[in-house]
Amino acid sequence: MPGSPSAAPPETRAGAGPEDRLETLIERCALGDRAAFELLYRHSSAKLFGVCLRILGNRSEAEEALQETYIKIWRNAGQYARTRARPLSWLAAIARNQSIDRLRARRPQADSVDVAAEIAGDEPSPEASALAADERRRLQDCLETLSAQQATAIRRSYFGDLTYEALAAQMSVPLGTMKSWIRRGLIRLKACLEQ
Amino acid sequence: MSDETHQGGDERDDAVLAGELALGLLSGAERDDAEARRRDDAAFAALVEDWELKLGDFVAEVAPATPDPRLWQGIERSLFGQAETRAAPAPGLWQSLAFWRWLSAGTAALALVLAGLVALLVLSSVPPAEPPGALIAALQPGEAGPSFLAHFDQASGRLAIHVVRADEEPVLVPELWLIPEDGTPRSLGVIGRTGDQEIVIPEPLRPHARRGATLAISLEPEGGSPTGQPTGPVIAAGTLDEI
Repeated sequence: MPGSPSAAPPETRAGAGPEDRLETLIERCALGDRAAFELLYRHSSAKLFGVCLRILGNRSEAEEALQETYIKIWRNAGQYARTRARPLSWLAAIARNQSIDRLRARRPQADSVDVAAEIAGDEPSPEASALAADERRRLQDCLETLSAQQATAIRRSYFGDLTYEALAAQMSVPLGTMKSWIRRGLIRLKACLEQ
Repeated sequence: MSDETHQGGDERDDAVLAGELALGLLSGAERDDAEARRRDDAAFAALVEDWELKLGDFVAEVAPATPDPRLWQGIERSLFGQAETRAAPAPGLWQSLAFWRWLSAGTAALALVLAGLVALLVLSSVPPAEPPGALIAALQPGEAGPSFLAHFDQASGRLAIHVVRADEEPVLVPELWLIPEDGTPRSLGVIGRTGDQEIVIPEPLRPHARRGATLAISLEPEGGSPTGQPTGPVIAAGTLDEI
């Protein structure tokens, strides 16, 4: 492998920064600028497709979710400024919601452990770890202040839309323990994120 | 099912419940109740959204992947109908601007800045967030040239102009016109080529700034049209509509 994780290309951080650019593009979408929308797609679709794919686990469904995601992005671009979120986090939240909607529609009413077991690994992929050096967020720093089990449980839930019951079964702990882990984890996470 | 003794129910404040809902941890009646609260309780909904955005940072852990290249066309098609009709003028509006028709011949040289026009703003799908009394017009030229967004507050008479994309034609200056139903353009003055600007529509003209009136921008000599009527090419036009 030619590039080690630490050798992330410096240009991703150069200039005004990719986040600033995404922000501008979203704002232009809010004004009806289709060219900006196309650029936004070009600069963010691979990442958002990664989110859809991770949650849904198959390409064709992930592509449908991605399509819905961008339709929603275009329609809701005007609401972005109000959230004051980082652009990529805002975009990712939409991609996750669209993917989760599909996941739920596909899933039988009762959450089955079998479905839970399909979910991909709960650690960042090796490629993503390389990116994470550059894109590392407060969330990741704060997750490290939790116990490994708490962080794993929250991460699995995020990418798998797992209920407490499914998560407890998957990680082989009693339901009460799982609830306690996560609730404490959320309290600590929130405190850390708001520091 | 009673609450677990580990961590009694009172331990769980709204922020935690919101996080549980955002993560999808809840099931059955508990989820239904929380979803209902999200619908009915704006403060709670804000907490859920806050979690969704914070958790959006998980995106950093995701490996990017390339979707089918045709996907983009699919998105364009579902949003804008048949792909790539960008520069086509909206005929109805164009005809209602019969007044400007003389332009069509003389402006070939200025094709750089002249293009179609789009009447309605994108925000049409967004539920009305502003109080009545605000009108908006997107003045779009198409492929090249500047785009303008105008926002008119009927109460104060303030018209905010936002230049979305500036062009590079330095000799002439843009002048803004209000064209009510009678078809006679009223000058709203010369505007800057870039940046946001705000003008106040003079009291006597305000009744004309109604839904359906046209805002247009023509290029004029420095200082504005010498005749009081547009003399240069129209570089952008759009109708005022409710937000």
